[in-house]
Amino acid sequence: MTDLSKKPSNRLERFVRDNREVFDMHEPSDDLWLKIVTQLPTTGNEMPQQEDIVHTRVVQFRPPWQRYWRYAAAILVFVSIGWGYWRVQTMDETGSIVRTVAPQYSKQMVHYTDLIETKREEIKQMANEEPDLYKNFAQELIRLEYDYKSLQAELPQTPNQEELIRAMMQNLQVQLDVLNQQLSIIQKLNEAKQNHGKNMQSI
Amino acid sequence: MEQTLYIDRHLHLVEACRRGERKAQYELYRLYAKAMLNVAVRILNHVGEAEDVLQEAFLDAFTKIHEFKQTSTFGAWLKQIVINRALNQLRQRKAVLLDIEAIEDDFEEETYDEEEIQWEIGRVQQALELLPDGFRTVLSLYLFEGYDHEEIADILGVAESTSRTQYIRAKKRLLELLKNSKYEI
Repeated sequence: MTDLSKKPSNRLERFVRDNREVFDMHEPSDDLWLKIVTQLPTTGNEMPQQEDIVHTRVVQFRPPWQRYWRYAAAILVFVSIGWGYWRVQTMDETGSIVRTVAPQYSKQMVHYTDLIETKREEIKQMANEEPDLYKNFAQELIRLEYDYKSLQAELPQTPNQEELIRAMMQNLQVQLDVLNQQLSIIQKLNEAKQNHGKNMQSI
Repeated sequence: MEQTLYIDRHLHLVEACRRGERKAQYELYRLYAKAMLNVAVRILNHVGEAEDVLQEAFLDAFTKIHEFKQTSTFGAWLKQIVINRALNQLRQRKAVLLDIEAIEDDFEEETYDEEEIQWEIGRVQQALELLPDGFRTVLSLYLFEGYDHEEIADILGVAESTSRTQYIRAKKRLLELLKNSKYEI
């Protein structure tokens, strides 16, 4: 039997090949990675071996969300009651705990927080142009922020503060990754808009 | 040259993954989640089920990373896991993946009138969703995932000729759907 699909005259095959990427139109939900990470076994090796992180001892490290995200809802109530006061207070408190318990993270944590702030501002600028997309982007980060805040709230009382600080650092890294991804989507979108006329002709 | 760099970059992540580094795992997730989700959606025709499959597939990949022998790329290996899990999910739904009798019945080699069709992504997507599971599976493995009939036969556990025939029939049905949707969209 001849394989019809191999014939160059097949428009379906050509059409799919030329538009392959556009067909990938579904995006994974925001919380899928969290679902995966909470089910992964722990090896005690979750943190990246970065040069700027000094490993003083090996800490058995479990995914932070496994233990803390359930408290997020309860913490949220707490957060909404004393938001303004709480925010200023905890930021100060977190900073001073980190400086005392794990000074090696202190600088990095400030750096990450600043980066996140800047990138969020950058993304906010497209809110008027693409309100739906912006809403989706903002929702992607809600869970991570809740996690972070619940960790932050736990920090003063927890017996192993260094471990919790690592979890907070990891959360910030994931937030940054998500933001970077969102920015690259915006960039692609802008590029696509510029090429719009050209693309329409080729289809 | 580019190819080498590409492979090296992913090997580095795979190595870090073997050591259980969460950041490397996340990086691989970020690189592949979207493409893999769409592979599963095309087979299952259901986003929710596809997400479950994706979650299981990544868990599989991370916990069995030592079984990855680097005879293929990580992406190809992961895709195989996603496809197998999606097919299992389909079978659980008691979907008929290949209807061989029907193939013998009305299979004719005819020419496709592809010239008349107005080619639009949304329209093709819609027609794909209307296909029966068995048709959509073979079509998406061949057309979208780039497997040849020998590989598809292996994945589905059927003869190579069956995969070819099924593909031709699936394509025929798709083109019919595309032609019929001409005045609706």
